[in-house]
Amino acid sequence: MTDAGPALSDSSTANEDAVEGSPRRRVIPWWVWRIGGGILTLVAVSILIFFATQVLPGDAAKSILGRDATPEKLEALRAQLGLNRPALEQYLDWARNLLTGDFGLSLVNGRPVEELFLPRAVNTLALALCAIAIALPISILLGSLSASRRDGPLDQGIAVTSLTFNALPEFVIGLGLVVIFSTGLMRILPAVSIFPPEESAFSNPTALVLPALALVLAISPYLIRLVRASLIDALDSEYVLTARLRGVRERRIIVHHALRNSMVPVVQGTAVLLAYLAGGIVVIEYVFRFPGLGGLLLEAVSARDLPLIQVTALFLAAVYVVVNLVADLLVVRLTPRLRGVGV
Amino acid sequence: MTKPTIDRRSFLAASIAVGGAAAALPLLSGCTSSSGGSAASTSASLTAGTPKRGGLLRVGLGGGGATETADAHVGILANTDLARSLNLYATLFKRDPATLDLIPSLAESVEPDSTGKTWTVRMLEGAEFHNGKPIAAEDLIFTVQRIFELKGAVAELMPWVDPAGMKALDARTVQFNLKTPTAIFTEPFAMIASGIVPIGYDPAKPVGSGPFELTAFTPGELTSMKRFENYFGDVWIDELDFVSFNDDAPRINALLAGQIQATEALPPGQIAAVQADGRMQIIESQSGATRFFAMAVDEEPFTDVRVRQAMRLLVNRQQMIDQALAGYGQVGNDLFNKYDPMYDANLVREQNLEEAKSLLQSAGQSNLTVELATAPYIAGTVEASQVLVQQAKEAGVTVNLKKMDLPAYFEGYGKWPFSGDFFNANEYFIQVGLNQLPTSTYNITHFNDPEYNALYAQGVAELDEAKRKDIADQMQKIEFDRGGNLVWTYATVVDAVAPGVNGFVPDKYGLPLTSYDFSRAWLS
Repeated sequence: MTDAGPALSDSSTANEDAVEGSPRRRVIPWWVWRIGGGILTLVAVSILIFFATQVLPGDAAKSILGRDATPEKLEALRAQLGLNRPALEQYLDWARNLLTGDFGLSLVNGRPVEELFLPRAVNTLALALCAIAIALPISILLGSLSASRRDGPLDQGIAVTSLTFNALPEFVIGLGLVVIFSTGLMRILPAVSIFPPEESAFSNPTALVLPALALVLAISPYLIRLVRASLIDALDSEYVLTARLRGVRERRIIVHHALRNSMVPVVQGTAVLLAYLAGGIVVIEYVFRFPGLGGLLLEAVSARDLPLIQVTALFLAAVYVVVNLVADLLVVRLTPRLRGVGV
Repeated sequence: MTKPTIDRRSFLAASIAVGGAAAALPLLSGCTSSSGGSAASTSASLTAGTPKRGGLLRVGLGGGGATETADAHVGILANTDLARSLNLYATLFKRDPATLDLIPSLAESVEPDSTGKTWTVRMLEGAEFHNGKPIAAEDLIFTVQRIFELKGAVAELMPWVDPAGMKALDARTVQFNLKTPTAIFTEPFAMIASGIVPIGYDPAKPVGSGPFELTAFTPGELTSMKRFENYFGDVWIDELDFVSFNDDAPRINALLAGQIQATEALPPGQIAAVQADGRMQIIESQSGATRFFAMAVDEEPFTDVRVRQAMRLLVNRQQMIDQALAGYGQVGNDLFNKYDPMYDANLVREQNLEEAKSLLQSAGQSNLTVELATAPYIAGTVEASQVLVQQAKEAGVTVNLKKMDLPAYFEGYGKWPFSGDFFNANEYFIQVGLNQLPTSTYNITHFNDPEYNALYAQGVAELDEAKRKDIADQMQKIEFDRGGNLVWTYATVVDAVAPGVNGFVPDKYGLPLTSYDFSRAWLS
């Protein structure tokens, strides 16, 4: 096995399809098909979300009125919010508006959805980029060291440490950091994010430190093991053996030959992590009161705020589609064997 | 306004004294009353020293996400809503935290005629709104009409008020010609959602006459306010921020890390941790606020009064408080607000498993199974429900928990045969209007007892306090013998503030941080 970890198999199949598929497919590049498929996925997601929220008990009117929800007040509010129209009509209206660039108004407080959504998206972006920017180089370094000193004390030390962090739930990591840096041992970093909504996380870097650090500790073990495994694969390959027999220095073998080839699964792993970071860090957001997308989605669901749920969930689905597409393009770039297939 | 503030202050002290409320003086002079009732654990430094002006106080409160509102009269649900409302808008009356007595705030005097059918409200002279408009009779009339038009929670508490029956007698005096006579005209005007707003009020640009005016508000995140320089009382701090929290742990961490200087209602499980930190001042308020389970008297098996009484008898209330609230609460007796003058302290409920079993047996319900709907609508309720499940087993009763998130719980609110609820320490007849009458929004026990309803109608119009107390006793006896409320505790609220934050005192009403009265806060 010279080129790939298991993660590559998906995209290489897709690319082989493109090569061996019907003549019609050969004319249109594979990534056009992928974009089309992505759009279809998003439409399906939006339909699914809409009808899933219809099944939930309670609606936005109930969540606005709470225990003050007398039948008359509910009726009036539902009429005002348009919640008493047929579900299909509500969906089609929303979809039509979306296509004209109108994201709709929050049912709960009447503000445009993008006003609620965009600042949170920017904050999440800041956090995710920080976490990846730190975790990626560290993981490549530690993973390479592990692979090149396979089964030695350094490798085992890294393995034990990363497995420990991998086994800890994210909120434990987060609260542990708070105790160490904010409330207990040292009081040098803020425990939670408090900044005016008109500012973003980019302009409040100290608020980013602990959440980003918690995420780095949470995602690095996965990346380290990915780098280590694929580098070991590469180091066991014939071309590395050939290079060694020709007397090339080990360091040069790793940096110039093996590492480059073992980047493919890392790129794909990073794509998966980015998609995860875009929406899956609710726990970290809660621990640090970080105003990001995960918490927004959770709040929107618990308030049954349909337009906000739709836009947020669609955005997260779009991140998945785009990030995976970009990763596949990169993989093709990194894999000479695949370069002929229409990119 | 070029007059120094001191003129306004001394003038107001005098005018309120004329209004007949000496109790208002300590509050107005800014020195907090030190009579904290039985709750004595408050640090001495909280009330000592001379208040001084200045500084920013940042407070962490339980948030309501995007549903948070700055409206004066409707949609006030989350704790941040309550706190915003109480600081942006002045009400006619406030409560003394130590006695729960009503004390005039924006009101100068309130007088009934001999029958209680006509009441005359006179407001302070010289008080004004945040936008500089003097507070006038027309504003009070507008406020009451808005409350009725929007069906605000307070409207239901004053069914005798005729929105078309108000008349301005002069610039600051309004005569209320009521539909029916009442003795408790004043009490609803001390409720949170009764803030006085100027005529033409727009909730998007909320203007009130409270101690602070709004500078920025993002629902679910941050509220920023600054001192209203022309407030009719004292305000010490320059700026006040409310930070909304969805979760308790980050709220406590923010306090310990110094990012907020005060927070409300520590979760029972965290009190010890905050105390252990050693730096924070703890304000412990034993209150008359109730936490209770509610049995719908018209739903099987609770239609049988013996089943209701058996459920009330099988509960070990002290154990429930110890386990669900870490001991922070006083034993409840199935009645509301133990600090109300109308409260009948002779009615005491204790656990009696034998009697509970025999009642169930005679009702033919020896193997009773019931379902309890629960949700985290206030701290400790889900835990108390779990304790109830255990305790009921001892009497042979199976309680199945139906645990939900809040929207799901409120979807069925008022329809669950067995659920729960909570109230602050309201005046007795107000409380009855809230949840004990067939017309009450919060009557989730569906209690509708003709004898009780007749007593209420009689009592609410009785101007003689002794006679009213006698009627209230009869009504509480009915609740105690055949009602649907299982009041298991009068809650103890525990707040924490950072060193250097002063002015807060224990409060019997049940709202945290001295009913969110930040006009009394000062920084040293």
